[in-house]
Amino acid sequence: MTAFRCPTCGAPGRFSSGAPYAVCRYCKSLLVRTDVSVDSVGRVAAVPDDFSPLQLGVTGVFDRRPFTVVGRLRKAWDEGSWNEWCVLFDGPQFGWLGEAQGDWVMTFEQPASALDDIPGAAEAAGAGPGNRWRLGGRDFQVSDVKQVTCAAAEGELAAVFAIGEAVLCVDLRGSGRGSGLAFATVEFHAQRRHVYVGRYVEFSECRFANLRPLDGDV
Amino acid sequence: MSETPTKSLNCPACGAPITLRALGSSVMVVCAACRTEIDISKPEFRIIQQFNVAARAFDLALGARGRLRGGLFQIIGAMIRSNGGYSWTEYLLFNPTLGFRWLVEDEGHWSLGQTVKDVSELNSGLRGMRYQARDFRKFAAGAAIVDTVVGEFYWRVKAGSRAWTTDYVAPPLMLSEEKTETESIWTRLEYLDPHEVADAFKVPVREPTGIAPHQPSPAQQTLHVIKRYVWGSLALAVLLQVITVFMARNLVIPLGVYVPPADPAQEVVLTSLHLPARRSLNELTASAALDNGWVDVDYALVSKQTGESFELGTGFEFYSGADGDGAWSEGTRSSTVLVPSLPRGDYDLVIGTASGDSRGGRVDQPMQLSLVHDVTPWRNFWIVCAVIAMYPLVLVYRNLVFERERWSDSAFSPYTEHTSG
Repeated sequence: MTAFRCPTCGAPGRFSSGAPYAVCRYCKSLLVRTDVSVDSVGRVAAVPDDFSPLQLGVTGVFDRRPFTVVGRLRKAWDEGSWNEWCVLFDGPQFGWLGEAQGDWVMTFEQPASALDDIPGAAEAAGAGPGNRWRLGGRDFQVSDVKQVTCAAAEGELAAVFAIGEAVLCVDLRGSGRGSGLAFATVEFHAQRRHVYVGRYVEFSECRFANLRPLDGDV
Repeated sequence: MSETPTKSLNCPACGAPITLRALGSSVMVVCAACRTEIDISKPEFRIIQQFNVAARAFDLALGARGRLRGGLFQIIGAMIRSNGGYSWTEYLLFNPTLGFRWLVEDEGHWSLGQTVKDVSELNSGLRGMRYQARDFRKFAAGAAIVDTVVGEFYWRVKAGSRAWTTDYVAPPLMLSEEKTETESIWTRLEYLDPHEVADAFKVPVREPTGIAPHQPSPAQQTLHVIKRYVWGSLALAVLLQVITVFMARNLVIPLGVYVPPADPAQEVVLTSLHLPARRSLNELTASAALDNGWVDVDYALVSKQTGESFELGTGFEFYSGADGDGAWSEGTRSSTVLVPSLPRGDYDLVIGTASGDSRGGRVDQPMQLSLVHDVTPWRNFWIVCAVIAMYPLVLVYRNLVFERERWSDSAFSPYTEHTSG
């Protein structure tokens, strides 16, 4: 089922990426696709204006693999917010291109086995910068521990937070220099944990097309 | 022409227009007119703290754009920080694709800074930090208190907020650690020529005062540039000298014995000798078994072909005896002189002497004479080496003076004794 009518407002929509979630572009209902139907699980806020050079439909290249930006989560914590762009590679495979304070990070969800060596949520909440964790056999250092919510969303999404859910997120940095620096995020949801691993990217290395016009320096 | 994305609001305290330039990344903005701090992290903006104080003017204006080290950046925030009576200015720059940078102005010295992400590359070293294969030496540590703040920031900065900073230098770079109760942030700063800033933002900047902790030493930079030429010239000089050494014949020509004539004024033509090298340096040695006496010798080498005469003089003296401390002696019993630039040909050696001894008489010992033909000249080589080394040595000295002055501002100077801690 790719084409649908929004169960809330009746507006036409389309799942074109194979992602399980989409945001109705008219009423901002967060829709989840099942085998038989498209259900609304609530409303999300529209993404507030920002100065990101990305927008839905932007195409780029990561490690010689082309991708398309299909969705965005605006994640927030006490001290600010940032963008997580959901990108679709051939395969299909989803990746997340994080955009925070001018830094760009591409991550991919890892199998649950990557989590084997890490502490549980209670212990993770007490983790601090510099703590060393192993993820999928690689060494990382905790750089940030915070409670995160999804403030807004648009487009099609490979994963979402439940509406109103605050998730403990731990950001980690691995080894490597410059844009090769490894990066990971572990999300401690109520019932499950997710781990995303990837690396920093230089904006220029992605050779983006269809960027939002910005009078910056690309 | 692309649009510059900006969003405007009116300051909820004073009504002055405020332009937002990094919306989405910023969490707060400080009104440039009244310094009221406004939270912009949520769609409904709200006042954090109200001051109603006229902001001090900054050298660079909020919103100014400049191209620095390859990127076009806009100034979105600025703050004056201080430690005791000492203050400096930090500008926050933003580019939507390159992110944030710091432009720091301190006593007219400018640096461009970027937050260190690869913190795993930071290692503490003997006298500081090691980062990306460079050793940074600890230079300063102290508090940094925000005095004045205007514009947008990606974290909540407040007038009065305090951090502890430690600076490490490896000119032209500086590593600066900033610690608060909750976090530690490292920034890598690169020294900028003030003209780079003036050109980038099209504003005049003042002349820097003193030496910045990470200012590159001009002498060191020049040394770096000329290093290869210096070593190249020295290598060439050595190579030429090695060739000269191998080409020298070092032909020993015995000249026989000079017996002092009865008439002291009489010159003796000792022998005729053949010099085969086209033009040569020769070593002429005279020795005599002197016993408390002196000899002055005048040589004249007279070419048999041209009649040209090459004249030079030498002398030696030798005294010995015994006193309360035992036997003593001074002087030498021989003398060697260099005879330069002798053309090929046959020569007569004409010798005249004057001498005396402790008894008031003349020296009557015979004098052995010998000549080494075509020896290696060394003097020119050493002169060349000295000339080549002179400027680099001046630079090394100037660099030392510069480094001493740089570190005179530091409590961690390698040039002065200090207690660690």
